[in-house]
Amino acid sequence: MRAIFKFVAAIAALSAVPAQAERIQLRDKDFSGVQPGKAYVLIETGSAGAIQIFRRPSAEQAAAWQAKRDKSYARAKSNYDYELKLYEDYRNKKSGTPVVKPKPLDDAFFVAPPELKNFVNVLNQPFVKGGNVTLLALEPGEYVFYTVPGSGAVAQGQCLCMGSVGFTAEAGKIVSVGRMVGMEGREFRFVAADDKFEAPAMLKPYNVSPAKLVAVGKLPNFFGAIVTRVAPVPGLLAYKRDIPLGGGDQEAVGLN
Amino acid sequence: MGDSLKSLLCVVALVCAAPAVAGRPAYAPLKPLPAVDPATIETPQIDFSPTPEIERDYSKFFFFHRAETHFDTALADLRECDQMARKMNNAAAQINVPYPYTGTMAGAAGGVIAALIIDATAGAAERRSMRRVSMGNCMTFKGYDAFGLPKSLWTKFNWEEGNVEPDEDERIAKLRMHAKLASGPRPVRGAL
Repeated sequence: MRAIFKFVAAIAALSAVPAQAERIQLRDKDFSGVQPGKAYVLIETGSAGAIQIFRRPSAEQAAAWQAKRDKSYARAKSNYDYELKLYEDYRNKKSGTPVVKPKPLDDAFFVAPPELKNFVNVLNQPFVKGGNVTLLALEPGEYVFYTVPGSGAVAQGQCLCMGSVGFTAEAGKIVSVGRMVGMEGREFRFVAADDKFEAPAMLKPYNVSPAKLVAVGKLPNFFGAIVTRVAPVPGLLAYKRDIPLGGGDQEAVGLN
Repeated sequence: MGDSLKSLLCVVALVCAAPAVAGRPAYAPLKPLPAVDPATIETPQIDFSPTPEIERDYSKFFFFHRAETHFDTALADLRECDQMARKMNNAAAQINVPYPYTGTMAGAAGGVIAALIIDATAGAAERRSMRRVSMGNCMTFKGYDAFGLPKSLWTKFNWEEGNVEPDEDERIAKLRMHAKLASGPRPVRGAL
């Protein structure tokens, strides 16, 4: 009975939320002009399906993560030292209770990086019904393409861990990022937006411009997906073997 | 943005003090290994007579080779790709990735889709297949060629990525055998 009540309460809570929930992926009927605090981004997903992007952590987020990590590490270290002492005591026959040797701290210690809190899932849901462009209303910042659908019967997500592209989402503006084409061999084809990129008619009064793009270096495989990379994009992304390079052959910044 | 962002990420990543290795994700630093004399590493047997049956499975059972590559370089490349082909840390999987419509009913359904695209890997067979693709992609990007061989020979210096991961020592021992092949003479058969 209690369980049923909980279930009903949960459903009620779920259906109560939409009023406050803020939409990130907009359809034409949701769009009511450019809001000053939001950054609008157009991505041509075509048949590419669902993708994931993440926002580079802000300085505050990075600092908060660092503080949290330091605190957790100190606690873990003190626990580890204590367990190690118990183990040593047992080994030196100071105590009779058998104790297992603790695992090295650096193998076991892990605090989820701040990027994981900044993920945005983009579904294959066009701005205009039947179209191939999706509109996102994002928090302003620098974003990185992370997951793209793979090829094959199951379009399982693949990680752009070996080289990707990022874009700047600017508050109060609509920018066009480019076209997610799909897998070509071992790489994912991305075409950067230029002035000729077509924006939905409804958005034309807002001066849609091409986004500022940047090459992104290697990223960790957070979720254990298949690893791949964005195919070279002229003038934006190149490779020296596996090392992603940005403009001017500088090594691209990933999470390194 | 370059330098300032890089220094910020350095703070985040904590490993800037460690010797930087070109282009490697910093959240997942590889532990330094004691140097070994490559001569002490066993060279796996790769001599065989191809049959159509063996050739059909080349895409499953393979190793890598690159000309003019030192053992240490090959080992570092293999370790990086091995790491790339794995989930960063089990803890990462427990983080809920926010879905754009979190809290809405449509969002609840969409959340299922999102979970699917991230982790559609139910079984060991699928994980093995993912590992093959990831290793193949990563090593190909690094300029290595892949060579197939019969399963009976392959299993001697590989493990089956399944429900149980091999321990770190076994992993390293087998990756060293791979590195021996990768930096050795070019294989005569099995090119993919």
